[in-house]
Amino acid sequence: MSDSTHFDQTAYTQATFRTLLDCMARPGKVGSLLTVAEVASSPFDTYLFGVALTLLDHEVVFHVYSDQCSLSSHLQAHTMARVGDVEECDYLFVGRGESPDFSRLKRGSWQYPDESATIIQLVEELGEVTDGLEQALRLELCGPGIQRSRTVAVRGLSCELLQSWRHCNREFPLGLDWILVDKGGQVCCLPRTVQFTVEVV
Amino acid sequence: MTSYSYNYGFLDEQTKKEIRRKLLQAVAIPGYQVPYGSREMPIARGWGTGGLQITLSIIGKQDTLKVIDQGCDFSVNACNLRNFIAATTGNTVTTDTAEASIVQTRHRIPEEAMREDQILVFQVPYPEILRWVEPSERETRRMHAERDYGKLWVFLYEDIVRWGEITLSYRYPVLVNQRYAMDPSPIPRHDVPKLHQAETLFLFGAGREKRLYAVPPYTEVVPLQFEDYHFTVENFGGQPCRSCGSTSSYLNEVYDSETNERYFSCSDTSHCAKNSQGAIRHE
Repeated sequence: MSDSTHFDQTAYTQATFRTLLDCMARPGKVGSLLTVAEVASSPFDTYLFGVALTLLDHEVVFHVYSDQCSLSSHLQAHTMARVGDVEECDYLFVGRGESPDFSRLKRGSWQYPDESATIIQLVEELGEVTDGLEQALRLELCGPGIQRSRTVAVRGLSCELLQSWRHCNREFPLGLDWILVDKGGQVCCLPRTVQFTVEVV
Repeated sequence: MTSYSYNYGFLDEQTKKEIRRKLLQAVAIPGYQVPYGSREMPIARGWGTGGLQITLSIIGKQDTLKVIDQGCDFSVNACNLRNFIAATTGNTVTTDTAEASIVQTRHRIPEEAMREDQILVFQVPYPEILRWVEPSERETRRMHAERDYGKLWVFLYEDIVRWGEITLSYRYPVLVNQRYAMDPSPIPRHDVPKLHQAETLFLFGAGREKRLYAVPPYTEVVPLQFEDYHFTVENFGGQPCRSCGSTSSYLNEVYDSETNERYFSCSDTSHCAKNSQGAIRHE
């Protein structure tokens, strides 16, 4: 895209997608995203931008929740995706500490449950162990993709948001898939099939 | 420096993005068929374009690829797909299951147990398992939505009434994650149990029918069966493979018209060759 940085978007989006696919297939597994050199100096989160670059194009609609630094127009310019309301978006981008109302998002229909929204949310920190993570939520996960159970620790996510997400997934196959990204580019996916118990540590 | 006249992996980036988005959704809803805009490929529809589009959308420079057709690395379909992918990506190819990071397959699951770091991509001719019993797509969508699989059960029941057993030898219906009835593609019954609680991610692509679906690792995949008529795998009467002597692998029956002799040999050629050399780890 940018000649000066030799950013290979084809290789970048492929690597990012494979990390997302691996994490979506194994909920709770923490993967690592690569930085996008091109936007490292911009006011936007480089990892969130990288996920957007991997998933968005002109065929989808996205929404940036309480967009304060015109991330929407930045993403639109780079991906040609359309900006839409929360109710119609395929991808919802959420900043750190924000708590949007998930019940307004599309959950798909019984015949086409894939016509649902995916949330990409920034959190403070993700880890497979709770050591060193203070004031974190410790999630005990089970469901498809998990052998017996798996633990993931998240800092920067509220219990209320988790409960409202669970409420949106009460009628499988309808539901919302959730991609969490932390400051260091660690990523963890929670598809709608995940069952969890939560504990504050 | 590379000098391909096509984009890496032949497909344009927009196409890959769409397939990637749909794959993530397919993984999130195990066994559900996600519609996608299947593209024209330089091979005929019905020759593995669905699997091919998935492979080209997921493959990266570090991947090692293996392609099999009915277990064989050297049949026309496998060779052409492998050559095509290698020519448009420049990636390393292999015939050894253990070396591959992506295996694209037509109608078999390799005999060697696949690992967590591998992905198996299936070429699927008919993604809709309910097509056995219902021709209308609108109606099968409704049936999946309502989990209305009565007709499928009756279909299996009628088979038992007529023949005394379930005679389906391939495309055996399975229930994924206790929710969706799914076509496991035309793999033999021998391979169906390998889908259950596997270490590997399974991706299914039907190019002609424009559908893709997935089974994540560690997911419950149960063949439909009755309390008194259980699902069974093929029985070769204890005959071993003539080349490697294996009695546990899926065998092809071969007839030699000159000697009038019938014998069995492994369908998975890579496994057979390794087994002959004693290179297979038995658990």
